Amino acid sequence: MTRASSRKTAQPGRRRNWPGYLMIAPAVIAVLALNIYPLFRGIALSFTHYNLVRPNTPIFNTFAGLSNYTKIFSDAKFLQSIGNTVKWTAVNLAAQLVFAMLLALVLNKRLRGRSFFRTMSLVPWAVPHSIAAMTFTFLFNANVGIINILAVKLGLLSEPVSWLGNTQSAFWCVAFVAIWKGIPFQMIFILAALQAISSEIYESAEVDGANQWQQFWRITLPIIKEPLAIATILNLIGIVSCFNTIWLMTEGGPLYSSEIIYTYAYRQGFIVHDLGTASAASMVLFVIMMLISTVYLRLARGDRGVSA
Amino acid sequence: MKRFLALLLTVAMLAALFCVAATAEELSGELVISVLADWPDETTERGKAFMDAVRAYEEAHPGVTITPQASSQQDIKESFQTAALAGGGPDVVIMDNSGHAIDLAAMGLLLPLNNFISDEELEATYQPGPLNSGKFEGVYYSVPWYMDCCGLYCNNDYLEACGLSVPETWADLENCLAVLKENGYGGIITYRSAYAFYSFFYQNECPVIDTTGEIPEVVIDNEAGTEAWNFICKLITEDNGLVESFKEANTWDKVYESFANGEATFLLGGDWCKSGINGVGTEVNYTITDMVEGKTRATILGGWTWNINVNTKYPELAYDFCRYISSPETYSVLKAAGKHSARTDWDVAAGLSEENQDLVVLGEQFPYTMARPAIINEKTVDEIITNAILTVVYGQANAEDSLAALAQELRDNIVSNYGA
Repeated sequence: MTRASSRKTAQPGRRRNWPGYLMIAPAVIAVLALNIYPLFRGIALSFTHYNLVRPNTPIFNTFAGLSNYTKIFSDAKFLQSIGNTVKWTAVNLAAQLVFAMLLALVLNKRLRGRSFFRTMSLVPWAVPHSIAAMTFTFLFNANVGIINILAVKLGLLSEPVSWLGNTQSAFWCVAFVAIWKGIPFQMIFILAALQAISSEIYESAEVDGANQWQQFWRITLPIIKEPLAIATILNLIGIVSCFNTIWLMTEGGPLYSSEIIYTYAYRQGFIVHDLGTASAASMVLFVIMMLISTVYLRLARGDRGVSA
Repeated sequence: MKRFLALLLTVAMLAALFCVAATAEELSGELVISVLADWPDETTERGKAFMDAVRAYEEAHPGVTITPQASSQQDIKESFQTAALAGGGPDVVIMDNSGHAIDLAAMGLLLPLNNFISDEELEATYQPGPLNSGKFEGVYYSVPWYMDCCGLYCNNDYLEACGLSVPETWADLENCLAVLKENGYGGIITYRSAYAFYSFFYQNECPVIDTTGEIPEVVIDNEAGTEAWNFICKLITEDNGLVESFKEANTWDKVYESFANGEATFLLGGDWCKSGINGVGTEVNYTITDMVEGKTRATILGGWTWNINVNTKYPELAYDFCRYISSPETYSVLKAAGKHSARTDWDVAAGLSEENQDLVVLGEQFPYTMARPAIINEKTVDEIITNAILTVVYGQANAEDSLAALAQELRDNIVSNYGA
């Protein structure tokens, strides 16, 4: 077949696809407008002098080279926020993974009232971030918070403590809330994967003399590895970009002890009004997320290659 | 002659009719006003009074529709800023006079008032503090609405139990805190910001940042400033002056709870704290009084102003509404809210209702009430000062080191916002 004749045969096919293109057009336009454009605008801004409160300076909206990046990397608060982001991610990820796994294993057993417990375990996930943050802020309150009242009554504390107001405890209190809220998301993925495992495999293993621990490590974990990895990576993105809980509970404080890169970028953008440095900080976060996603995708692809 | 007079009269009548029509045409349109959520809430007395005033304006101007848009105190500035930068946003917005209008003016998002009224007329009509809180590069941008200032709320029972009277000077306050500490009572609660602490600098005749020159100059570490800072640090460290809740008081409700529940003996705050404390429902027995006196009498300004979006389609109407809502015609709104007008003709005692007469003492402080430094990014300055206070609270730095670091950080901030 010649190139001209193949073009002729391809054209009617393309025409037939127009309704399809039209149907996906709103979604494509939405993605381009709300994701792709802001991403490229953000990249451009990170290399631009864009201090909103100095629009009349000659350098405003001009190419800044790497100066925004130099500025943030020489800022002790940004370096502290990187350290906090790493700590925040590690703590949240590890705790959510362990507790979600335990919860999924328990809810996968034949228990009385299993449906009720499964529904109840999803409640934290369904609670909006703002409501959760407000509720826990109230619970941690130094004056009227139930945690302090109980701790003092039980003799664990001599006087109430401002949990969210102290540099040593604020980070951990906010992390606790994020963990509490994040567990159900991870758990539901693991539970779905566990339910797909045939009970016959476990029965065979039992016949072969494998105990519960061996069954978990040799059967359960290898089978659910892939959905677990997907859930983990999705969860990781949510953890790194967690903003609402931190901002509503501590605003990244006190003394930036709970400041992560996301809150730092927000502070630069909306309090300092420097969109250039705010975008540079966001780009650092974006690069970290890209690296994590790339590593995950390579691992996932490698796994599929081996199994094929 | 008769014909000529008739013709003249007809022309005059037509001209008058045309003028009226032109004015009516000018003052017509749909105005969106962004206000705090409690203003359009008609379930409250203040909300009802506010909406009545809005409706009265609409009735007086048949072609005008006013649509209030509710925002929270935390994000009214950010949401307006984002919308205005994108070329939209409400026509009129109220702003806290803690430097918000200056930031928006610096971004070119507000219409200058000299398009509508002369500076002289503004200065004759409004109090200087609130008016200057919206002044950027010599131009006024904000129509002052109501003003308040920081006062001292005292727990009468605690003071009586310790044989103390209401403190009037720095020395009195120090003594009170020492005696209260000995007797196991808490000291001061206030919002975790620089707000109340500015008063101590002003009482020692230190403006924190001198804004009289072209580029603001940090003077917090001059002799007067150092003395004020040392006083604040002494209250914190030696007198155990700030109660535990101060560390987490990033909203005013935590301040009210602390005072109403008896954790603190003193509360530093404005007139709005009265309803906040009463709202907790613990029936604490307290007195509202003026701030303590240092070298001089001084306290910090608060309040809100009306500002016009540069993107508005109806600038004349927007200004006219701002003028109206802050005029004596709507004093009933302020009376219902227990607020003091920022106009010079406001009568402090007569303007408040009977149940709010205890707030008159705060209004009497207005002659020596001072605004925060009128600089770009005041919120960042506030954050820097608050963090310096917290380093002392947490014992991470002493008075001398914290002041040196604070002054340096403030200077760096000025450089980044104004250049060298």
